[in-house]
Amino acid sequence: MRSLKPLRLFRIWDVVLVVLLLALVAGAVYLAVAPKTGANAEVYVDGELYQTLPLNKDTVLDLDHLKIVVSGGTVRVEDADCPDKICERCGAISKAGQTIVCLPNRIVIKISGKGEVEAIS
Amino acid sequence: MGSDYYVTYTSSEDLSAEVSRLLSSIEESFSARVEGSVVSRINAGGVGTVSLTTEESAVLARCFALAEESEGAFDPAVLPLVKAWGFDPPYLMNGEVPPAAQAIADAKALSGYTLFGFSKENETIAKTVTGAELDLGGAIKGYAAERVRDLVKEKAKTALVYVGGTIAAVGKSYEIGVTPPRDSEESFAFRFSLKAGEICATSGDYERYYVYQGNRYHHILDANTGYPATSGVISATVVSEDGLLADALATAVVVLGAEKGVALLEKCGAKGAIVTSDKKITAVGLSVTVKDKNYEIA
Repeated sequence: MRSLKPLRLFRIWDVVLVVLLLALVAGAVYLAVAPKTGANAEVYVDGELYQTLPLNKDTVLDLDHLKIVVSGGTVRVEDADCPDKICERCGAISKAGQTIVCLPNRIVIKISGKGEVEAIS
Repeated sequence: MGSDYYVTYTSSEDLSAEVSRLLSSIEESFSARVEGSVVSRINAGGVGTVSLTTEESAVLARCFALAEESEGAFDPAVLPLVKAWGFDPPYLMNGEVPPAAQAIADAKALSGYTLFGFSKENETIAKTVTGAELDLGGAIKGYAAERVRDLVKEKAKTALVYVGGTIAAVGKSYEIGVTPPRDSEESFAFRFSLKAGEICATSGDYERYYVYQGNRYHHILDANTGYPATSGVISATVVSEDGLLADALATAVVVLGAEKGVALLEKCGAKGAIVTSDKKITAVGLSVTVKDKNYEIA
């Protein structure tokens, strides 16, 4: 009696090829979507640099008076306790030179980037 | 200031409290939106003469001189028009409708620096028409940047002073980008070096505006017509060691247009970069590097 061999639709190298292709696609998508030039959000408190947050790493910086949220290559302010909430209404920023200022709490968030300008008029 | 500000500096001293105090005192003196400021007192009062402090007189003297120099293209007394057009805070940028022709004519009749008589010698200002109102918003950020510059330069080796888009450089040059006046992928249209001691201010039709029935109405009003300026200049950056002058002339150039604007900058010894609606940049004594490919040097 002949034994039935299982039908092998995929050989090992096919699997390797598929994995490689998927990795390539994922890499291309990441390069297209990820923030370029390694931009950072610089957080200043009372005019002094307090912390630098890379925009390509989602994170939340919880300060006493507000939260600074880095997400999808942008940075924004949430849950500010200031009365005017101008900082929250600025929305998300991502381009070098853009700033969010929370005047009552004396916090400035500024996007830095290689070879870019130091302020925008 | 009614504006955002920040100062970044290198110093062993903490200057933030002093800077904050200085800016608050300027706002308390000159804001049309702060009760008790000299501007509010003049605006609330009827026809009559108001005595000024030496600082108030000095600031108003410079504003009135620039109004004359620019033939009213910069005008510190257009608040009735600003209100009529809906550009007085809280400005919502949503659903505004331009005023009727009669309302514009009424507001125009109450606008213009010639409705005030300013005397530098007596340190007084006289209001000649009831309802005329001052608004130094077009110049006071430049004055504030200049005062903060002078304060921090004594104590900081280098500093970048930012008051609502008006910027002063202390101790070294800073690279400054200018906001693209129209939608852009870039954060700035072009850049230039602001040298130590200099102040730059930018005005444009993109800062506060609304679109009604396909027409764009922006906040830079021409007191001579009563309507938003239609000179073809969509953004003007002015650089000078005199911050108040830089701020006031940025507005004046948007009202005057490129050709007269260049002449005014040259007459006042200021530098600048003027962007017209065809997205051409006319640089006056300034070396600019274009970043946004939609713009080019004229």
